[in-house]
Amino acid sequence: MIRLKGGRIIDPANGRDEVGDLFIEDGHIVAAPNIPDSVKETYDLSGKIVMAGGIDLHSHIAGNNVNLSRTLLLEQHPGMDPHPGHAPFSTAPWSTYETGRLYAEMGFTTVIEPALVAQGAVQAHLELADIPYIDRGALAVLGNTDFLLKMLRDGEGNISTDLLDDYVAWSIAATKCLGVKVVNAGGGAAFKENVRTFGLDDVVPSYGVSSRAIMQALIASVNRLGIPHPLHVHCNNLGVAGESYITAIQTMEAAGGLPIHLAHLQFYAYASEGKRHFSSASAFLAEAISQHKNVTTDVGQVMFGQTVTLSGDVVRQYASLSDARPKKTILWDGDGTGGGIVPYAYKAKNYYNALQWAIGLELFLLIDDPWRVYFTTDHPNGAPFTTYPQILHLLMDAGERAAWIARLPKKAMDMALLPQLTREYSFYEIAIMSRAAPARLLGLADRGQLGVGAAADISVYTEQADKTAMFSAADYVFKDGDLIVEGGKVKPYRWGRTHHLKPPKGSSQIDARLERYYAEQYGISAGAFAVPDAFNGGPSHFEVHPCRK
Amino acid sequence: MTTVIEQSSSALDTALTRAADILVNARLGLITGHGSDVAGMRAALKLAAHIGGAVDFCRAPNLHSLTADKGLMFTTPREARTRADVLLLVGPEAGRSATLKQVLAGSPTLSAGVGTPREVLWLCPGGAANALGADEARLLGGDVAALPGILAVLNACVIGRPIPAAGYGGLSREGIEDIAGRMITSRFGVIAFSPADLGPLGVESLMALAGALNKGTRVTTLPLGQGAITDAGQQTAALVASWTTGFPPRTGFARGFPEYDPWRFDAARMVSAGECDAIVWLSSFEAAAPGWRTDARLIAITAPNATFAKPPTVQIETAVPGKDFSAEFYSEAMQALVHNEAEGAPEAPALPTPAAVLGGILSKLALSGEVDTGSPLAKARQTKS
Repeated sequence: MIRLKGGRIIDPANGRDEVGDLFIEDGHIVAAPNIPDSVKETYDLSGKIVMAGGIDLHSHIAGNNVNLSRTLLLEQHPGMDPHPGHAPFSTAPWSTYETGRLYAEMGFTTVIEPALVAQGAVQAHLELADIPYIDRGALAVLGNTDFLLKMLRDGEGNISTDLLDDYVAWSIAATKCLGVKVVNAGGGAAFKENVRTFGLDDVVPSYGVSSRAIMQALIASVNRLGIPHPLHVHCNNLGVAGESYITAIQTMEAAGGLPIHLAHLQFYAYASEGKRHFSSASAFLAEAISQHKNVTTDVGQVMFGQTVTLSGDVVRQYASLSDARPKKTILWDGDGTGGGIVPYAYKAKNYYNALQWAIGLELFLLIDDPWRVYFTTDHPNGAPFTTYPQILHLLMDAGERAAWIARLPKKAMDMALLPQLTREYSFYEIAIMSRAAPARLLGLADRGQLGVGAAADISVYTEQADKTAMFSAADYVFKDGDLIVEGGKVKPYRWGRTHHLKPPKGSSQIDARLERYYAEQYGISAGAFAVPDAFNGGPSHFEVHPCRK
Repeated sequence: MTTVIEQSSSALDTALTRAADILVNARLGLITGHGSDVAGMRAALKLAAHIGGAVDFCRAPNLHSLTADKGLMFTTPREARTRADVLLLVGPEAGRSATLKQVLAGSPTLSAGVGTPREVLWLCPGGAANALGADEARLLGGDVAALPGILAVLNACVIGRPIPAAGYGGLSREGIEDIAGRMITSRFGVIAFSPADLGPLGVESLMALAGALNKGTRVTTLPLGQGAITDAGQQTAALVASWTTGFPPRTGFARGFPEYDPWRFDAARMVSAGECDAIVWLSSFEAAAPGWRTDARLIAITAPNATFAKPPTVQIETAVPGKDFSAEFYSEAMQALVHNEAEGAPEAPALPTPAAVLGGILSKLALSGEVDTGSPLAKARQTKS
């Protein structure tokens, strides 16, 4: 048994914020022992902050788009540092091994890849399996396949919900995912028919089904199946100033009170006021979030520097091709959803980029319920996840924000609300936003909390005024009770798990139906892309979770 | 004889020890060949990192490294099969591809293509012209050697720039205008090609052409392999290397982190320059031997029955992924890494898997006290500090 002694334990899931002890045994948090002798190891954590391991529910860490980006931008990530002997490749920039190391050293223990497409499922899971230290999971992208669109078209609004639910369940089971995502629902299919903009009420040619109808069908299906994570929605019109925030609000309304998660809201919080027709719509969106209690969101904060945008929203990415810096891009039409990769540099001196930065922080600060707004940069779209400590600093310290604002273009800051906002996040709110709330939203009941019986995923920080420094390097991180980080540096590799759902099998003979469809349409087996229970060369690293029904 | 040391049959464990011994004493070890399954490639890269060696699994021009200059626009064989109303093949290899047969076997059933027979055109078929029947593709002619230029002239035609009155590359001006016109009026046009035919310049020309066509309609490309050569090993190597090191697999590890250098770590060049004194030859799908000769000590880890012009110092035969044991590797037909269940194979294959052999060598190295501190250079640095 391990005793973590005298730290300030911040555990919002259990309403706890106090100095006290935690005990770990067999990978779990246990009650204080009756016999003190059973404690074999004690860590003195006086003066330290103790939280559950961080959880990131939207970070592109694996799959076709990520792996293609690595090669497309190979000149952008030269190596610099030799790896420590116990962790090969962990200093190779942008490798899966580095991803695991960097997340662990910041105190994160679970990360979700939000865009797994069926044809890339095996590769995405193999990449996830090569991310050391942390647990992983993925969301299955649906909403563009011919099979689904035909089902919706032929049902003319009264489709067999059994068939739809069985298809969603089959997709999750075959690709071993933890939830469902739509990316500009129908947009990928419409793009193949030369459609270049695609809004909520636009209709996919040849199918006569609107984006709204696709999304609503999936929201309802996810709800009926009892999938813990609500439908994860990448809305239409991302980045279109003057339209995007309206689309986001209409999307919230379209959910009809059912749970829905809006991803990277910052990219929608754009109005078209001012000389440059680009202004902040954060106040409208924050208000809409506060009214729609069924809605959760993550921010997709922008930070300055070179990055790459990668997305299944091919309509959006095609429109952005000319913005690529450096000037090289990848755009692919997949089966159903495809992808687009556009490198981009956010510049502090650029009006639009500076305002994007401010808008993201405005959303964090204006949405007053930390249980419903999460911490992301939509890595790497807004910024790499390694900027999280800086963002935490900005949220917790108005003085730090003022210092940044002073260095940014006045014209942009004059259009922003940010300079007027004085709110500072507390540690407790940070622990809600980055631990307790995302665990709850993903249905990972034993994560994101420090109650007795919870998995011993724990991060320990030294409280400092400089929050960037504080959150960059955890003093200790425990993963399922094992020490994986000490003094901000990783220990030898330890391998986590990939969480996924096993939805119940329905009654519509979906297997036979899909087998027939795939054979006729594509000349392949429906299970060609299915992810096995264990990959060759290793034991199963999957952990299965049930649906709620 | 499944395991051989200096032409004498040997126990596997002895061979692993000998291989480890060769690598420990090498100044520079190279791991190369025709590639392996995912588990095999993981083990190969770990071994390379441990010995501070080099890897090269870029046998044929690798599409991803070719596109690092300008990028890529592409689709899957399945979308080409179900949607392409016009399919333009460019170069001989495109017509030879087995995956192309799968595309041609279907007819357009989705959206734009529905109801009209697919038009298949073949530009620069070269010596492969007989690979497809007259009813399968219309031959357009064109000099294979001039392919990158032809694609550039087509691009000029599409964007309304003047093109040579006398035509170009074995094509008449009218011929070029016809092809451009057909692509402009396609609704989901697909241009199929093999990187082996086009090279970096040709791929860049092709992507510029696809980009120009997309100003008006939807056109994309379909990358195909090289005819009958299975790309499973090489493509698997490229994908695994990309997520493991960040780079295509022409990489050195001597400094303790991966360095990508397509010239410096070209296996054929390294061998002919005598830069490596120990070579691991890894070919898990094919019983293939290297095309070069070397005086370096060779550790061959291959599918059964490979024959070598000069016997390797250590030769270990391995089970074949997907046939003798279930494994993940690249399928060109699927354009993805897929899981391949070895139907009917015994639970424990008679031969060791490639990953088990490479992992076995690595454990021998670790046992011999050769602790990985990153690399010889890193070691030197640590000693200094």
